[in-house]
Amino acid sequence: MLKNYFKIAIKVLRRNKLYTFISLFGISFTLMVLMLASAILENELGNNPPLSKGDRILFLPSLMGEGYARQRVVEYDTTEVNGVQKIDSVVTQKVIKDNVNRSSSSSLGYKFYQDKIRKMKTPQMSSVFIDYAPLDVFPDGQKLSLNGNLTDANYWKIFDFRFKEGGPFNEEAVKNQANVIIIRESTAEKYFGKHNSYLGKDLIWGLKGPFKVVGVLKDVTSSNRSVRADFFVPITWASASDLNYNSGYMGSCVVALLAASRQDVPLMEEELRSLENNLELIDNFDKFSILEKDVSDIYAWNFIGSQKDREGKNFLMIIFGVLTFFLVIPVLNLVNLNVTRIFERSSEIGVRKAFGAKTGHLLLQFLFENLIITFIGGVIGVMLTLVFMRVLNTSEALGTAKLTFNFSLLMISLLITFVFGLLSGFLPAWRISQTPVAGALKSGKL
Amino acid sequence: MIAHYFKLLWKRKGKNAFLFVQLIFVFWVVFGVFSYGISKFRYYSSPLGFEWKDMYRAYIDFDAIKDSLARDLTIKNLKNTMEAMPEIDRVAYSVSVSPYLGNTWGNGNDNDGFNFSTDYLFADEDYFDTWKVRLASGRFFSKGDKGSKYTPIVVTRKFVNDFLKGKEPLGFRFRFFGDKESEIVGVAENFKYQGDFTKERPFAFIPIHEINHYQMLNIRVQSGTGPEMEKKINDLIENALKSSEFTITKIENSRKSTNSRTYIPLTAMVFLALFLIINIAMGLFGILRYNIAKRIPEIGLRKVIGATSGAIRRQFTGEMMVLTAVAFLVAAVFAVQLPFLTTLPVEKDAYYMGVGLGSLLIFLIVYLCSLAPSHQAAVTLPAKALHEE
Repeated sequence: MLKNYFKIAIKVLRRNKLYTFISLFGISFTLMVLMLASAILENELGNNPPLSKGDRILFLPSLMGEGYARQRVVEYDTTEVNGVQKIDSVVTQKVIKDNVNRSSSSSLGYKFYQDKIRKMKTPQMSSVFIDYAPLDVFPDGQKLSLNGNLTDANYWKIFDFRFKEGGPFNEEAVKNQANVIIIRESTAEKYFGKHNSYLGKDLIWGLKGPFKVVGVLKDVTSSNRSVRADFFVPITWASASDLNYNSGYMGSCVVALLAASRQDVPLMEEELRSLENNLELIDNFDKFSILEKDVSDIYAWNFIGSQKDREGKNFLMIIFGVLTFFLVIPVLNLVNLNVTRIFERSSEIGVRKAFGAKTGHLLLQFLFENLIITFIGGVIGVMLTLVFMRVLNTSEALGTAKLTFNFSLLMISLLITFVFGLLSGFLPAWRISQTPVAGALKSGKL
Repeated sequence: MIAHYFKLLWKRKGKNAFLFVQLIFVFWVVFGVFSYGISKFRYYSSPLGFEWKDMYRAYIDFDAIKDSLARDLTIKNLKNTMEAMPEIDRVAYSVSVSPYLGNTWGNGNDNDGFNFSTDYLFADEDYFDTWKVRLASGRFFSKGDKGSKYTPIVVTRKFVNDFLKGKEPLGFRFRFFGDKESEIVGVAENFKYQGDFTKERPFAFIPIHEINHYQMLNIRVQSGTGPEMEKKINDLIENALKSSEFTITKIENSRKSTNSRTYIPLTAMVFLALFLIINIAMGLFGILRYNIAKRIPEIGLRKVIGATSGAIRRQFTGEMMVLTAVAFLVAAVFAVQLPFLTTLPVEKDAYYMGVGLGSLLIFLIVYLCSLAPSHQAAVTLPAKALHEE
């Protein structure tokens, strides 16, 4: 029976080429936009290497110190001493909470990590790194701007980078300030020229001298600032002023906390709150806040929100809102087109009904037909998506992010196509199945 | 006549409902895209006030040199060596605020009853020549200003327009910060340093010797120098500093990445809006053709009674225009209220202009889409039409 429906659907499609073209154009373009949007979100927020444990990671990109406004309160106390009135005044500083008149925020200090964060109980593991270390090199007279990430050894356990060759450096190398470097494949190709292997080659970091390549990474597609660096060296190479500013609380470091399971993430947040409440107050600040963010908050921070706010969830809501709004117009268009075209087929429906077809059957048939055309549109949509991914990747319109079409995206695309087909097909199919027999037979030309 | 079209539309309201809702949505989309686009275009076409071509900036960590005497000497020598290079035109020091860098230093107060809030930077006297900032009146500060009683500052025309309306800016004195009074010695034309697509903000230039905090070297090279220049600058600074704690950026690249933050979303928006418009245009065309094919008997009857082809054509385009106009009214009722409900990300006049131009476009598209099907209806022969019935 499905085979019959399929045949009929194809026949109908071929009958009126203009309408088929209009429908397919609308369907395939809409699906392409939705697929591209899911591809970008999947790439950034999905659990792909090196962020396979992304849903268990909390990043601590900044620490904020706040000072409250102070009010001078003078209290007078009058007493009579030997018949003379004497005024005794007590001057106190009243702290006006909630009236922040001074605030400063910065990345974390290395000392702060070592003394406080590392001793936390709820995280399974923690890592400290400096994700911004710009380096200009001139391999063949032409400038190549690289960004380095100075990491500890745990970094390689939390983030599961895929190595093309070699491997990560260990605690020993970090402690001894070894001249070792892990480099991204594409960066190695730009710096050394194309070779089969880059292991053992030396990259010259200005006056710091040569660094030996011990690992070559496959390219990272995520744009997350903590993993997108061109090269990685031990954190002990950071200058003292980068590690800690004067107080030792602040510096240039980012910390990643890994929870044992997803359920432990809120526990880590709680422990951070109790940690910040028990901090020794320095530099005349009245309160310190550790501003943690998860993977989606970090991504959302590119577009909305601030250092202080975690906007990941809101950002996703906005994206879904905009996509739904975007979806409404093509769906309406298609429904409208389909509804208008029902009468083209009223004679067929009349005959089928006269011979005993049930409303449910007809509903199913027309829904199925619509699904078929949607799937054809979906296939075209996937092809368009692939083309656009190429364009986006080569033009670097999305910055360092690189889009790929993988299995989970294929599943998402299928789901989107199915939902789109149902949405745009239900009303026309329902209307068509409700057509009264007599009317349909009378008006139709067989 | 219009009332009659309206009646015809109302009689077929079930069939027109979808089209109607669809049109309202499309109106909203074009309102949004047009007002955003118009506002960005207006920012883009306002003058920059400086020239970014052949410019480099070097962010240098002089604080790494702990000995203050050695530091001052390095700062002085580096500039001299740079200026001695034949490929380099001009060099100037400033703090770490720079065109297309994305950071701001802001200051404002209402000391002495003068209320202002402006962006600013500290720079040396060569800054204006280096960036080719144009002067509207007065003068730039010079070496001779060091040690003067008032801090000589240069403000932009935007600053004057915002805070000194109707007053003579030159010689105006106020406390910028601290207790020392500043005196406006010059007015620069523009300084739109946050990016080509941004709104110009008031700006003030203050001599760098007031704070003695040298962070950024602004370098203008001769035009026509290639990428090898960057290596030369790099070696020069590395030699002078004996460290690699600095970064050099070509302003052209910085500009490109700053601007791409506006034009990539803008392109995506325009692209999506274009797709929606094409989609709706084709849908409209298809539906109209179909509707008209269904109404052939009606057309035949009208023709027999004596309607001309022109009248038929007018009827169908007229019906569509009335439907669009009603959809526009509904969309506009919400759109007009929006500025009162929230703060818009664009200026009000850009918004209203966007609403106007966007609506015009939709009306035009609907009109064009209804032309061909109406023509088809108009040329229908009455005999054929009635025969079908």
